[in-house]
Amino acid sequence: MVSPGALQNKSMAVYTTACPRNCYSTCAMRVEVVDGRLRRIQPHPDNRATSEGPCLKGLSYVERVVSPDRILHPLKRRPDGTFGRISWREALDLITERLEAYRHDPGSQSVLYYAASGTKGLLNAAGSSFWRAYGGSTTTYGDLCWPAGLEATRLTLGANLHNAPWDLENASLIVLWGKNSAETNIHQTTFVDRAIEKGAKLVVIDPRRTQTAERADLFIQPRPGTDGALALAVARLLIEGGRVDREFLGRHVLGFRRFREVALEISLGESAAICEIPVSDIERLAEALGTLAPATICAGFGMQRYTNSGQTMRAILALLVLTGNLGKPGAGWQFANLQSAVFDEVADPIAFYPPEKPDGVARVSISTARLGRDMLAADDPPLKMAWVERGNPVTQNPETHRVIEAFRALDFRVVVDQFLTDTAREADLVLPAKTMFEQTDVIGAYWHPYLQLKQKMLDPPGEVKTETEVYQLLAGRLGFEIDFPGTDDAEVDAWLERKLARFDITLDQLREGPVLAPGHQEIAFADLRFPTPSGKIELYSEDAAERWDADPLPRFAESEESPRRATSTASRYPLYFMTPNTKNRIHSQFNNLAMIRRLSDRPLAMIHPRDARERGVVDGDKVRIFNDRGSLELEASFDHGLRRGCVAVTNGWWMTDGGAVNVCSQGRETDMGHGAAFHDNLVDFEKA
Amino acid sequence: MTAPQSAGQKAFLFDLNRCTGCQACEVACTIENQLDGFSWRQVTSLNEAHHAGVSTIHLSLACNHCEEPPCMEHCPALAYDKDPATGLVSLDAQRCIGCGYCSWACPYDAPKLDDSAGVMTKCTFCAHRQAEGLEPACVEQCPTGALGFGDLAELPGVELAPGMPTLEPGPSIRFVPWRREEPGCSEASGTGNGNVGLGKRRRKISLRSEWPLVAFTLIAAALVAVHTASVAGALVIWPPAFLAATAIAMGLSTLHLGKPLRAWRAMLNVRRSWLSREIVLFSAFLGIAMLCLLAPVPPWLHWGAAALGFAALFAVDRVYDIARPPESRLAHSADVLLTGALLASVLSGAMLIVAAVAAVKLGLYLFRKISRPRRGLDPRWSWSALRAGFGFAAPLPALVTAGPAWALAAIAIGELIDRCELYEEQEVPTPRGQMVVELQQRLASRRGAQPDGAAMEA
Repeated sequence: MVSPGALQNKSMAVYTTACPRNCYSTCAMRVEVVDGRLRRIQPHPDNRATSEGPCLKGLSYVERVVSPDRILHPLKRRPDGTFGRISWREALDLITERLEAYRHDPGSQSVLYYAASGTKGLLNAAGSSFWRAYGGSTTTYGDLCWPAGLEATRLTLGANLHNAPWDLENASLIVLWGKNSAETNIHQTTFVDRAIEKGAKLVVIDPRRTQTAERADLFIQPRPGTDGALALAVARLLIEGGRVDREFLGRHVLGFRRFREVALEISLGESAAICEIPVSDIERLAEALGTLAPATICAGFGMQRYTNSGQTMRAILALLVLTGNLGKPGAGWQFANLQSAVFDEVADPIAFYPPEKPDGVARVSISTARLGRDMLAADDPPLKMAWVERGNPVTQNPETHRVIEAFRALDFRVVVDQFLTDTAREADLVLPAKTMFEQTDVIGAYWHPYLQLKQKMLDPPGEVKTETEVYQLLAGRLGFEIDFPGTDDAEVDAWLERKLARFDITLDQLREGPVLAPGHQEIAFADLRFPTPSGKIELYSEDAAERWDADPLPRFAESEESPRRATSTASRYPLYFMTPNTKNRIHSQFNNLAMIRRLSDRPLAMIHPRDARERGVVDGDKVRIFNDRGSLELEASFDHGLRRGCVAVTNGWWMTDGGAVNVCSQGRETDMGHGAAFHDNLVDFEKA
Repeated sequence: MTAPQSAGQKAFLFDLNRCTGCQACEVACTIENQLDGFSWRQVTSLNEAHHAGVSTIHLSLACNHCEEPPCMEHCPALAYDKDPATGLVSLDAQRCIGCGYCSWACPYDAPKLDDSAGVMTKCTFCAHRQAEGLEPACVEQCPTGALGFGDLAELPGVELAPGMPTLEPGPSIRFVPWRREEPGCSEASGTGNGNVGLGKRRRKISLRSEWPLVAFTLIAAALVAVHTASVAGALVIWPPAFLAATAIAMGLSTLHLGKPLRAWRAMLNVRRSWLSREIVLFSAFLGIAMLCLLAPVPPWLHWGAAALGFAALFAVDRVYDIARPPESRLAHSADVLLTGALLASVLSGAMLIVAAVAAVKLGLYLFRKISRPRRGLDPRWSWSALRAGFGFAAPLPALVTAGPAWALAAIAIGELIDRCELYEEQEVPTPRGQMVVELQQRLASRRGAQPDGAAMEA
């Protein structure tokens, strides 16, 4: 053991940076670098949302950057399936040769450019710019994460904005609806705790008894996919009890009368039967929303990955509309806060949608949600090559087997990554990717309103090149130019300064700490102006009908894979397969590190003891979770707090761990927003 | 309960309401202290299986830098110190022999083995950070603010939390107690209790890990017995066999240390540690017993060696006092003092003493076998059958039909089985074990509150 105090006589530098993972928190960090190595990662007090410091994953970067598993050189697949090191020159020659060939025949759009959410940053746009200059490519539309909720919010409020994270302290009622903030947004938990300490009540709604539920005054465990019915039942009680804000509805809301009819369509008893919860749960939630103000609902992402999710989210959001809980401190709808998305030309979720008038260059034709199926179906031209960066579609997109089949059907695959993920293992060529500590970039967030800098503080190890440099080198070989910086740090800084200039923000400011996004509103919609077609909050949405062929009112319908639907799949597979995120990973990232692995060494199937007993399974048994699409063999772990009829395995295990949950999911879209409805996923299990 | 802490005693503060069990504190500790694949801090949880009606609560513990640290008291090598100014309990890696006895002694599971270094290590209160005016890494890095740090005298909070097995050593930690009512679970959700999944006890001491000590202690008893029988004139020792057994015993006891070359340090804490006393007494016995074998010495020295031998066996049994389960609190049938006495009297042909010792052992054995099932523990009837068969039933018929050697062999096998059982039965209090006990209690009291059995079969 080295004495930790022995830092004297060594060069130490401290940098401000921020974690660019696909995570609510997007923590600011102060990083100490000693002799060219990360020494420790400390909290950065200037980000009010994350001032207590990063989570265990953020701390583990100390290991991640120097992990022995990191890819440090270009790798080429050998005929026997293993990988061998090649030089950059060979790698670039190979890619150039393929790209030139495919551009001529069958055309540039036979190349799939697939980028996902593995890391945030403005320089990520270098990819799109390159492929556009190449002559176009096939890209994807939609998103795996959150479009149903984004679109529901956009349809209702006009924009995805919410109060600053710290405003949650002012709430008298907090409803964490399908959100397990203790694991997925731990910094929000701090504000929840502070609100509780000031007397606020907490409601948690989740089929799983999560760590977050331990704090709840009221905990409701509805059947998965029925949250919309629960919301409409609560709305009915609020309306019948006269606990709606009539003045607010009259001034700022479109469609209350028609919404009222929908809410009154289903009796309380019927709703309770749909959700499989006691009527008293619905009454207590209505009582809380009707009497406690201000109220904030924090809606999670998991429940909007069902086929009926857009309408579900609209129904839940309506509860805040009815009670006038918008535009005030301590009130509101916390789903996504895109205040820092100031660089985006088109705001999400519209940016996810196929352009109404394709420009002929970027042929946006493949659904992320149906990636495998759509890749296989592409025939004009058929796909020949895929370039994957910032993503691990083999395990993270729905229907793993179909995705693998589609990748294997291609002629040539390039994957850019830091580690040999399951997707990288499918590649012909793996290019080593930089980490967040090896190139400077500016990042936004989707929970707090800060712009932050992730700073270069280490030189890329081995032969790692930044993606911008790789694209520059390829562009040079292919004979075109892209407006992106290459290797030179000063060039990168100058490029970022130009991007920031129109907001009067400098890199030096960001080097000190996070900067609030220009135009930031601490209390969203405080002016009660809503950028919808009517300028009002829309409980009735023509847009929903036109764009999504959906009911303009958020009526409840069973999700596609529901045991209550009389389809053949449903009758065969009676259990909901829940695939929640864990504190130990961001999707498929981090669990390969020893520090994290020590805490979570193998995937477990969480099952209710009574479901287990019916199948002759005891705690610790090996079980096979299966449906028509695939199966997993895992160790069973009894969870008495899980809703019966559900099985849960945390998302993000690798195939090499035996826990890739998407082998069982189906590639299909949510009712709106082109999201992935992969939580519509019925399975059964048996003793293996 | 304990003497008031020293004026400058630093302490941790832990808010049960704020901890989510995220384990960032564990990772922060690993990184800050550059630990190789482990952490000095550990989060344990009550009710991880989410039984209805009992909250899932976490406890994050490192070292509590106790007022009267049991690690320091029991360390045979005097490797521990307590700083009178800050109350810091420190472990000097240069002085540690890697025997692991401190990990038995500490009820909070604070000392951890550094496998690669072969020594025990523990939380330093991040003294190096304190020197820079910083809080310990775990405190600074806790993302929910559940961990705090300050002067014990000034910290708010209570002394007890779920998972704290005892307050006897005067732990320097205070808790903000859990405020929530026990959670209600909706009936329709079907989250009733089954009767399984209390959480597994991970035992710190087991036969698998401690077999060299089983061998060492039994050989020690045999050596003392053989010497005593020879002094009584019942047998004549063949010196090479005695020397070989001595070498094996010393080898086993030394080689199970992380730092065998520092074994001599184990004798330094005679004043307080039974482990030191055992080693000093046993070494003295061996030295004089060998002198008796090899040189003409006066008879009183022979008897003196035998007395030292039994004193050493008494000390061996005292070493295990910190790990005795309730049913063998006073004595265990496999205590080596009894084994030594039994073997010595058998070898000497003192049948009255044999009968007396055997009766005591049988009594203790039966008492244990009756007590353990009452505590919900496996009495291990198959082991018992073997133990009783070899140790109590077989010797007399063996003596009559096959001769004394066979009878002795049967007794020895019986003793070996009993000794193995002792190691399997040893329990040291740990936060994890305490969590299991508390969950059992809470579930039992909940069942008591709902006599219709709703808690069991909701």
